[in-house]
Amino acid sequence: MASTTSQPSHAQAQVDSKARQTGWTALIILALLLMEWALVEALKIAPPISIVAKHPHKMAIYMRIFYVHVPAFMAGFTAFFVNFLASAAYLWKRSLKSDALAIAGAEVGVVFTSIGLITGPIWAKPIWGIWWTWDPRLTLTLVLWVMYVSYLMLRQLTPTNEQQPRLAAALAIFFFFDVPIDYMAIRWWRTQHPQPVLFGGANSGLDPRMATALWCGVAAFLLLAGLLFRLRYRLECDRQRIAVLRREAALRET
Amino acid sequence: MSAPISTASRPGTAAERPPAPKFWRVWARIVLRDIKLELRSREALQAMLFYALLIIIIFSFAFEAGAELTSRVGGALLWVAFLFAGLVALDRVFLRELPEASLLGFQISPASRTALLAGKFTASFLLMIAVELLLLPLFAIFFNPPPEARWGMIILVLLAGTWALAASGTYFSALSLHTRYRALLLPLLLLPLAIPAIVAMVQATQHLLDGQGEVAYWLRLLVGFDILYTTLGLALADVVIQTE
Amino acid sequence: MTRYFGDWPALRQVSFRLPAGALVLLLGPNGAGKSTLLHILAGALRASEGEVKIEGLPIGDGRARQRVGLLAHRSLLHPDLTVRENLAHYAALYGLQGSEVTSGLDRVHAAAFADMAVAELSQGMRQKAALARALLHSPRVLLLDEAFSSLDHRTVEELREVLQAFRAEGRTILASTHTESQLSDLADGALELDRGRLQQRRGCVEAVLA
Repeated sequence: MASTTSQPSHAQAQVDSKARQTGWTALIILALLLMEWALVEALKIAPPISIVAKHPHKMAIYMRIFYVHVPAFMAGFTAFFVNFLASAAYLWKRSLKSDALAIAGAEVGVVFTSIGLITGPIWAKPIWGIWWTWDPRLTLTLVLWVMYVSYLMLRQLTPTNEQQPRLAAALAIFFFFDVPIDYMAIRWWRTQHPQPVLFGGANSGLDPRMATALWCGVAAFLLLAGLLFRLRYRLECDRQRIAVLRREAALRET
Repeated sequence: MSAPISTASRPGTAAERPPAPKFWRVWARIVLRDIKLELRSREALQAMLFYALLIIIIFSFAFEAGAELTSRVGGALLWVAFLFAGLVALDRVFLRELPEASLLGFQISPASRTALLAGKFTASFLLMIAVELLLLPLFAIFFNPPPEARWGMIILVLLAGTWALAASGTYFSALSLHTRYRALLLPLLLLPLAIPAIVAMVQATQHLLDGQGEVAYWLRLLVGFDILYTTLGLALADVVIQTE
Repeated sequence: MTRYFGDWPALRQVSFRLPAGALVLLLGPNGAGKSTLLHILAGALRASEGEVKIEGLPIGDGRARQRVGLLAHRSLLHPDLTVRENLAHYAALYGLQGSEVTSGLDRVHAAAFADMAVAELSQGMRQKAALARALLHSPRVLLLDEAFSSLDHRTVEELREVLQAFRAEGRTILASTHTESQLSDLADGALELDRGRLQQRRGCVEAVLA
């Protein structure tokens, strides 16, 4: 509803901000609960079956990292996709809001893919006996991670003025279209080389309780990523505002 | 929105205007001008040749060069040398327009920025190819490639691979022009993007050196990369070529 | 017209109209936004809001760019090429024939050093060459960005003559300066900028109604 004087609109704004605050707190609590639940599902309820059928049963405990590993990647890739959309939107409309979304997407994406890239080797060492293998999926993920770290480097090394959003968006578009080519190159490259047998059993035959644990994990990680994303986005918006206010203040003094 | 600002409204003088600059004429101008500048100073050419030569020599020491090594990693050695030499050229593409702000002169002209990027790309592509063709015999001398190496095809891969590096590299050269640590940032941006192209050119060259293995797939992938990033770079030329 | 750097408004709601044939000074202290304004008028920067029109054409249009020339404190010439080569390059960028290079050189009496590399020229010669470049495509509007600072008296006199001839053809000049300029006596109007805002319009400068 539109208010005609400034007094009620101010009050309205306060109510709005209070409502936002409550909603925010509720979401954080929800994320924590979901995390808790996912943890219980993953550690207690999911059956101790290794999806690597050839390995003995006692190895199955390592499998539980899978409930962190996969959700982390899903959250990370989603964030990268948001970065691409926001970058394209920035070039379209030149709105700094899109740029803030792009920053948040890239940073959250790097954090979550890092979690995935760290949990992967922790699992691989006991199961495969090696920390890392140049399997197509691993390689592609690593390349993706490298690209977005490079993106963040550009942001760090570009003077903060109108140039940074424009250049970062130009880079993000380039990187995004690289992913399918990377896929084609890496697939072909690796299939020509011997590689360890990864999945003995069919990946699709997940026990229903394992599926529950997995989807709980995915929901929890997506919500967490969403919250971090929003936090980072608002931080960036504030930073943009502060930069303006600083310069205003500096000019007023002269 | 505020009011339009207009300057000097006096209509009816359109007749005296020259025709709009043609894309190809501007492109050719820039290619010739950059080549002329390079031939005049020969700075990049000399630095690139010497740099790539050093890399080849250092590799020989590091790996105990011989026919056996070349048939295993010759393609990789060759492309690492070319890649680093190419970065020297790409770093300078737009840098040479800064001292007297000649880039600004371009930006205010009616010529299309796509033509500028295309011209800059062509010039750096030619420079890189020239350096590579000069180095190829040296490589053959130092690394004793097997006799079954197919040199004609290797040159074809050289063209497609250099095109890939020059197309994305020229774009990134414009992009990183006003950043801090410009010379460092360029490889930091180019290398992650060029990974599939590098895989393709190294694999193809390797297979051609030892005379066996799949080449057509890699060549197709390289050409796909070339087409994609040439198109994308030219489409986004307006975005990366803006003023300081 | 407003120009943001990031969120920072370097220019706010600046709007005016210049009549043809006028010589107008753009005044203001350092950091007032003079250079930004000239760069936007020349089409090197985009206005965040609002538009620039030259003889009714928006500056994004190639035909509008044909009508604007910019003389900055740097020459916009490549130092390793000769003056003639530089002008030939600009002729191509503006779709001109090579023959106009010679007449462009003569206009500013630069024929004597036309075949010297720009890097070898003195400050005064360089600025003359830069003026030849700015006038090469016979623009309707010439923008001067602190163009006369650090020039000796004689060069300024010569450049003044060229500019007066230019103006006599009904063409417009907008010259920025942070001090009293060598052009003050010729000016028939002035714009004063302060902190990105248009403070004053004097003389022939007209307002634009929103």
